[in-house]
Amino acid sequence: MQTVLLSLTTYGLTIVFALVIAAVIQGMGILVHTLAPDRKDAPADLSVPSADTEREQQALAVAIAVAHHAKRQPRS
Amino acid sequence: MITWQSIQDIFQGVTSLFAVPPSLAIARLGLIALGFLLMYLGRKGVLEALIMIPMGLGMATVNAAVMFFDPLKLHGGGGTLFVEAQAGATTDGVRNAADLMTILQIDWLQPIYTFTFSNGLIACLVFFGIGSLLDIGFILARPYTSMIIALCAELGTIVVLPLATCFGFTPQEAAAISVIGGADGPMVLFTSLTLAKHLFVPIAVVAYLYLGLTYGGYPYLVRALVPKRLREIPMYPQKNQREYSSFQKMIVAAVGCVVLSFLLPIAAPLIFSLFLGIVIRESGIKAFQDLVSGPMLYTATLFLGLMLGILCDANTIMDPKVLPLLLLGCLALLISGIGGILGGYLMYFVSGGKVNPVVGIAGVSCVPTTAKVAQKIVSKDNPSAVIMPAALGANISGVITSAIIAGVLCSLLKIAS
Repeated sequence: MQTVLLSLTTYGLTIVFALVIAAVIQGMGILVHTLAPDRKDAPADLSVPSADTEREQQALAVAIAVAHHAKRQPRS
Repeated sequence: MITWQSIQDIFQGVTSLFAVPPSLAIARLGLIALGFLLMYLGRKGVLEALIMIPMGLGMATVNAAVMFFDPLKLHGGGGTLFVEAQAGATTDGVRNAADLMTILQIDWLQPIYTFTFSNGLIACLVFFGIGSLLDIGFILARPYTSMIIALCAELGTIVVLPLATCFGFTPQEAAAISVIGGADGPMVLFTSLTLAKHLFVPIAVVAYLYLGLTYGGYPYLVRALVPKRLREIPMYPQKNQREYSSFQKMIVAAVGCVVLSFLLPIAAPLIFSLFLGIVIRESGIKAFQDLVSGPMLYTATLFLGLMLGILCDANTIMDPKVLPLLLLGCLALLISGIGGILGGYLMYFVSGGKVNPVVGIAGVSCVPTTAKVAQKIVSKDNPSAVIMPAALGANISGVITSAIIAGVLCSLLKIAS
């Protein structure tokens, strides 16, 4: 009888703890998905040139356009 | 001059057969045959090859290599040069230390047994490696479904605990035996070391023997309890299922590890080992991941199988407590398998037929064997059905519930004693 009680107590506690863990896992899942802590840490594609200021971006866009245009020109 | 006596001294493996009671000699020969059978079944893929091949060879060899050598005078004059599991098991601390020092210098596998097996380190190393193979995303997708299935698959532990006391075992011994129902090898080692150290060797041997057998036995159980039309059900990802990045999974694993350790400090070494493996997997440190999931896991598994085989000598197996252990271990795993399938059915009805009940067998936390078994059974009936992600979710939850149940039992019984 004593071990039946021990067994049932163990199972009861296990159910409670397991559901707490499931709740923690689900809660953490929602939290990390909402906060997305790694959003800013997306690895930069180093093969693409980057520019920090608006002026630099415009200059870069012009440079890329010129390079494309030059590529399309048939060589004489 | 060669005398009969000198021939006896040379071929001690054979002559020692005639120097012991016939039952022990027959047990030795039977275990040699069983070792070969386990190797054969492992090689054929019927049983788990990773454990069964080294275990079978170890079992066959250790029962062949018996000689008239017993430095600690524990076995009536017979012994081997492999390992002495009983060294250091007396109540006299000084004698224990002296015995251990002596035997560490004699038996070649004693350092592995003493420094990795009997203190549970090997269990932690296996968990560490298994963790590095687990994707926590599977449990994040369906945390409650996975956990409820895993809880149902603990039925064997709960039923066998009171049954074992009917066989004359103390509550501590009964608890150590019943944990076999969780089908989690490292957890069985840990619980028997904590609650019934004197039964550690037979419990560990029986547990791993049966864990190997689940690979061969559970498919029959599933086919008997789940009809073909239900086994064929494919499982699709849930609507609006979130995708998690490695970094997010790492955070969840780290928090899960700390929360579980808060709740169950007694199982913290195993919990930590498992979650450390998961964190390494998600951390992106490829060198660590390769080390842990490859050389470390396979070295630990090889020595685990080898040690289990070496520990299966006739003296241990002929211990009168082993037969009830064999019966109770088998019963625990059978009831857990049935419980898992019932959990699968429960989720099938709750989800309106979207969960394949076969997933239930994966709640028995023999990672990743039962998940593989579940997928294999389903693939046979419906080659296009994929249930592996859900099965792995239940499998990981099974590890967690086994850790919880072991921790609760150890805590309650330590308080009681």
